[in-house]
Amino acid sequence: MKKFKEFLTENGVNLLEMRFLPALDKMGKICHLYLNRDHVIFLHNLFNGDGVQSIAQFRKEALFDDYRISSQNEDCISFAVDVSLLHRALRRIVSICTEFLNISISKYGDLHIQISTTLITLGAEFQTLLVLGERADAPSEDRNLSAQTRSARTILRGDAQSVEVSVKHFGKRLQCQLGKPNYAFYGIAPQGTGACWTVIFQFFIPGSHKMDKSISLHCILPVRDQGSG
Amino acid sequence: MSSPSSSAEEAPDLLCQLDNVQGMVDALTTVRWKRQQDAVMELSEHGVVLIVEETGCLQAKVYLQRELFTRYEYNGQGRPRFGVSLGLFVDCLNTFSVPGQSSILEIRYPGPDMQLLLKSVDSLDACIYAEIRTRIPDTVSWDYNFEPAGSTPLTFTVKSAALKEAIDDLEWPGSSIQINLQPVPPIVTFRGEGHGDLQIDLMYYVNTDLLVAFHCDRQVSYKYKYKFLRATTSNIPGSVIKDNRGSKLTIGRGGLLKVQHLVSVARPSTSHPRIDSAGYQQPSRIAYIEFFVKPEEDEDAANDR
Repeated sequence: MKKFKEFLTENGVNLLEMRFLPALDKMGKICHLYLNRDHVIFLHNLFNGDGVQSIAQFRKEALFDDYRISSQNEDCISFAVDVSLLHRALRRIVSICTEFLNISISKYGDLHIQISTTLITLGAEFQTLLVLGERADAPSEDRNLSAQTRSARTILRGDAQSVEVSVKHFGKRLQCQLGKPNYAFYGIAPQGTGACWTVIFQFFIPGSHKMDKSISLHCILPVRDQGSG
Repeated sequence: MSSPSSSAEEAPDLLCQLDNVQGMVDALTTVRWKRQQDAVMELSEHGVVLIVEETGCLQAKVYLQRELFTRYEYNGQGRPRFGVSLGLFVDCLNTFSVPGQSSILEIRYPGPDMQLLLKSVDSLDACIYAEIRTRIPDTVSWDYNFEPAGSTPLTFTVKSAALKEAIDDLEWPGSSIQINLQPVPPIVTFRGEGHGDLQIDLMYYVNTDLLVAFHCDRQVSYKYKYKFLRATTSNIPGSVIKDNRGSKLTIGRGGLLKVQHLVSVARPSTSHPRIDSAGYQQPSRIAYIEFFVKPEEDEDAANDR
């Protein structure tokens, strides 16, 4: 019985998707993938003498962070793969990653939005926002940390929750700004077995700072993954 | 993923702040002649240089001197270099540029994972940030080693708008453009041959508004690929045209053409009155852009004599 299970790292995806697979694809459509305990090797034209032989070898750490392999042949496995299919699959993974935004809100009044691809991470953070419901004071030792680190620590501490929403949905929700609301409240609410991202807008009575209860607007965005918290 | 590391405590190679993000976007856009471009950034105590290349035929450099930054702290050793996607960098900078509003951007290198870190620092309660993955620059960029062609430089300065217009017009005839300089009468000629002929003459003394300066003591003539020539002017920012600036072209040894533009990175008009009232004179904040274009091979060597 042959088995292997691996988790590609971000760097691994980057290395294959952006650099190696485009090159290997040119060598020939089909290559042999050979895996052993320490290495993953892409082999082209090894058996048919003619054509360019190409051998690309990666130590497992270069691509994977969790690498398990077992076979009766001293834990070696080999099979043929279609390079262009593999390339397409990886490209798809990369594009799916860029279709989602990570949003977290904390008891300290922090709203943190972040999107990542293999090449860039882009984010925005708003602090000391008004909190409805349970609030807490941010630990002072977190003050000088980066937004990402602070957000991750807050989630670990159980003081924040994060969700992933579709960028497309988020873009639509931004259009609500056209209605010129005076306040926007953000929340993560349970919905069915998962959660949803809720935005409630408030409008003032013109010329005052009093809420106009005769108007209401709110959006509910589906969430991909409840995340942690 | 990134984790808080002890290296974050050490001074980074570069920590700088900028109050005119749009100016920097303009400067970098000038050398963005195609979609996918890898750039190399080089840091030093004097500033940041960004280099883009096209297969040994065309090179562009953007010089962002330290004077362009409101804060510039350099702690690197031996000019750190790293590769970055130019398109990604410019698009990313654009998200930090708010039209009609002065925003302060902090740039830091390296991050915990050798990233280029950008962060808006105007407000205590809100910030935008970006982490751009950098690469080890894979090729040692070829030194274009520009040398003067003789004892006197062969050079002319033309209004950037006119230069751009002339090169745009030369798209029609074909793939290579001949640039001819002659001292008597002092004329610069751009000539394209292909589907037809098109010749554009810039006459010094006849129109000094257009051709601002001219130095040439002997006739020279070199051919350049149109697409490379076009790259030198295709993305000149609107501010350069609006400021009515000139571009300087110099022909060096072997016909290597140097094209220089000046892009303003001046502080936006919403200035800090605190500094102005102290009588502080802001030095002109200009980013220097240089293109080097190699001539086509088939020219006779007699040119260089």
